[in-house]
Amino acid sequence: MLSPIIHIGYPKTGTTWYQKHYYPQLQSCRYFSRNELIRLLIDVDVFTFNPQKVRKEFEQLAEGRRIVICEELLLGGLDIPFGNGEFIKVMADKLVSVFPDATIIVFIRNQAEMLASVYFQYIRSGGTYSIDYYLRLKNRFNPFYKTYLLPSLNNFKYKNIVDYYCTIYSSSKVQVYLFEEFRSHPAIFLEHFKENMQVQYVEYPQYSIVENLRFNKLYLTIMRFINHFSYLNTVRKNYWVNIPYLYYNILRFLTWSNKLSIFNSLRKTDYILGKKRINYIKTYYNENNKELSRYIPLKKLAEYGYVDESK
Amino acid sequence: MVNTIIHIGFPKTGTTWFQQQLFPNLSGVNYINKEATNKLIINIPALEFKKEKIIDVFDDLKTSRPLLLSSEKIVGTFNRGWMNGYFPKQNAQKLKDIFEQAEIIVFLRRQQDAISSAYQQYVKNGGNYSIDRYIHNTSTGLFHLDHLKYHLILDYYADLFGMKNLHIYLFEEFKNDPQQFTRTFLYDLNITSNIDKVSFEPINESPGRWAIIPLKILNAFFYKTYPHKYYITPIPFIELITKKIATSHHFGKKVSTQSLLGANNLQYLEDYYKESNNILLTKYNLNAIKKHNYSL
Repeated sequence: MLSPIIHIGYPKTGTTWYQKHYYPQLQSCRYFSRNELIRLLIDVDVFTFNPQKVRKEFEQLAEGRRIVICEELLLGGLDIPFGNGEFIKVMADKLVSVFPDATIIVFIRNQAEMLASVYFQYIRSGGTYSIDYYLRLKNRFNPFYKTYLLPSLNNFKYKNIVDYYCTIYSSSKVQVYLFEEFRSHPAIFLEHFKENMQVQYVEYPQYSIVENLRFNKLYLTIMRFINHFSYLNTVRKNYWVNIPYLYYNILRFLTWSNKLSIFNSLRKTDYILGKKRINYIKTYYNENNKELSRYIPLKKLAEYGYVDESK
Repeated sequence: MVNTIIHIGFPKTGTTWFQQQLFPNLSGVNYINKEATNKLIINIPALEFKKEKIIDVFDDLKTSRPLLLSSEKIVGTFNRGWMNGYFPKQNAQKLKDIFEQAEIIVFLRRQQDAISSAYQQYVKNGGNYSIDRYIHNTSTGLFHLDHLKYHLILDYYADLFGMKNLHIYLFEEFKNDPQQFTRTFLYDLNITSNIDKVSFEPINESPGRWAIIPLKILNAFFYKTYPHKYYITPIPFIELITKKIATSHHFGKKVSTQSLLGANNLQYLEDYYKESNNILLTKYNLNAIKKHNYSL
């Protein structure tokens, strides 16, 4: 049997599309749902976790087919604590103990684009913090625990995570892909990806479908304001008073109308983050991203804005 | 590196007293306080943790006296969540990476009393869920009952540092006779120090029994990054009033565990911790837990 495929994220790199439209289309593969993974891998305390037993259960469910996992929660996701990286590290240890033979897939995305989308997801989920507070670009609260449930810029230092997976798995088993390449040339990218994974399709995946389209700046502002009137759907927020159904109805309307092409330019990262923040983010990650050249050619990293070679 | 003593918690077992009153006054050790322990070890992102760098720092701190580190954050603070043990496990691994050998000090407390105390701390810090919701919640960032299955963490430390280097104490024994306990504790750890000047007054006390309901009501009127609480709407300066109430001595004596938890929860907890506590008895020979009514 071919080695299990474990696609660990990142969130906001098209994982929803892969989960809905790609992996379920693979021949002779058993794709595991989020609920199954939460039950078998994620929501199991680390001290009583039994890798042999878990592997056996995966194999029983796979019934001889290749095991396929695609879950961004393996890197902490966006709705559970990013913490201080310990979840990511201990989860990697869990994975290698269950699937030492797996191929690890990591999709990364230029951090400025990534953080703009992360913030959109937070607002969409009911958040009210400003970009600076949510992304900890400014400290609203005294660290350490008070910001523990918010994303940490550290956890988007891709090189650290890829390095760790390479240490525990060996670099030949870890494949790093750029989300930008997938988005720019999906057909070519998927052909290459298919060869690398050694898979066949039942039906060719529909790559024209876009999942979770980012809100434009105007809608982000409206939604952030509206979220003050709902105590749903995230705990990391403020609210003034709860007005039942308001959040869901407005969200539904904005999600529908956001697809209109007139909003396309307002959806750009420049509008959402602003140039000053983008510069800060680019500088913050530049050195770390340069070291990604071990996995991705530096020229390509520069082309997609991961690194500024002049700095 | 040898001669290192690490006090890892648990929370609600008198850690503040040990950190503020006893450890800084021990001449026989080189005490690294909670803030420094957290800064040097716990707060460092897991994937940026470079053991060589930190070993160098501790080498510089080395004297002829043993190092003593203390932080209950090592096993995780109760009211910030258990998170399936990811946080305490990673911290234990960090400690093992830095200190190949170390004496580990762990204080335990009868779970029902620890929960009662943790809940009062939660209310004192701005929370207002009911005790039922607090005990039975499944949120990732709030108290979880499994945090007090002591054997999970003890077993892991025993594997990493060896059973003989694990020093387990009961908070109840300390509370019964603090002075005598402290002498035995120091003797056991081979620490020579004069404790005549140490104050044995309790620190970080729970609010009075009549303060709990007013605090829970007022806590609904200010923001705090305690994500798990009910808000109504913010009213300025309410938080300051709650702080006064929480530390005031005019709200009666402390509430008893029995009256705070209620009969149903007590029974539930009795059953919940039996298996774990029996491991303490059989594997760690903690016979004293019988005397202090741990669930068995």
